[in-house]
Amino acid sequence: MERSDRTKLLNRIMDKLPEQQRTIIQLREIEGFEFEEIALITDMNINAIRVNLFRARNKIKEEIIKYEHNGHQTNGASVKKIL
Amino acid sequence: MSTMDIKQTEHLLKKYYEGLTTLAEERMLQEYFTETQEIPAELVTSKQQFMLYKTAAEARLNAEKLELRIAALIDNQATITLEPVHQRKPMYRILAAATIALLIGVSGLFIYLGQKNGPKDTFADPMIAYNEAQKALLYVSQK
Repeated sequence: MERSDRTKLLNRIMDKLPEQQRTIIQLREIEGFEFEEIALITDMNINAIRVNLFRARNKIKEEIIKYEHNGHQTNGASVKKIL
Repeated sequence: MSTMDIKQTEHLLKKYYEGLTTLAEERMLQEYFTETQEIPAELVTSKQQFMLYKTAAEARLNAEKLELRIAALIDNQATITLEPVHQRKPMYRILAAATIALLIGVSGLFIYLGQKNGPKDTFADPMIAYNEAQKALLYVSQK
């Protein structure tokens, strides 16, 4: 996957996440903050942050699987169309 | 850190998806996925996931650098504009002023000449003038 494709895919997935999960993914995975720092920034407790993070990480994984699955399907369909 | 074996990686990934890894452990995973060429098929999706974060983090860093560079440029620009600038009056402004002055002069001249050569009274007494006019009109109406 190219860099620009990765950026597009992450943006698309982030748009699908609830706002709290999106913020926490941004702060943890992209900015690299500790849980204590995220707690200070978001005014959430660490347990709630962990729960949101665990949900968001699994949702992102699911979306990547979906993306790859759809990608192969689209290719198959376009090949069929050409044939 | 890419010396991490598959078992270790899988264990860390399990913790990762439960939201239980520390930042240091997440960095180990990040490094493993970035540096390892041969990834087992079952971990490919996780590699993609970590690559998405890496790309976003790099873009974020680049944006920050760009911001700093723009800020530096703006600061330099500010010191340049603070220096006195000798502005030359643009040529078109001088031309426009000259044209306006010329127009006022010419129209003034025409008004003055117009007043000077305008119609003059031919008779001092209005009664004589009236009679003369009557005569002229009678003459025209008979023709």
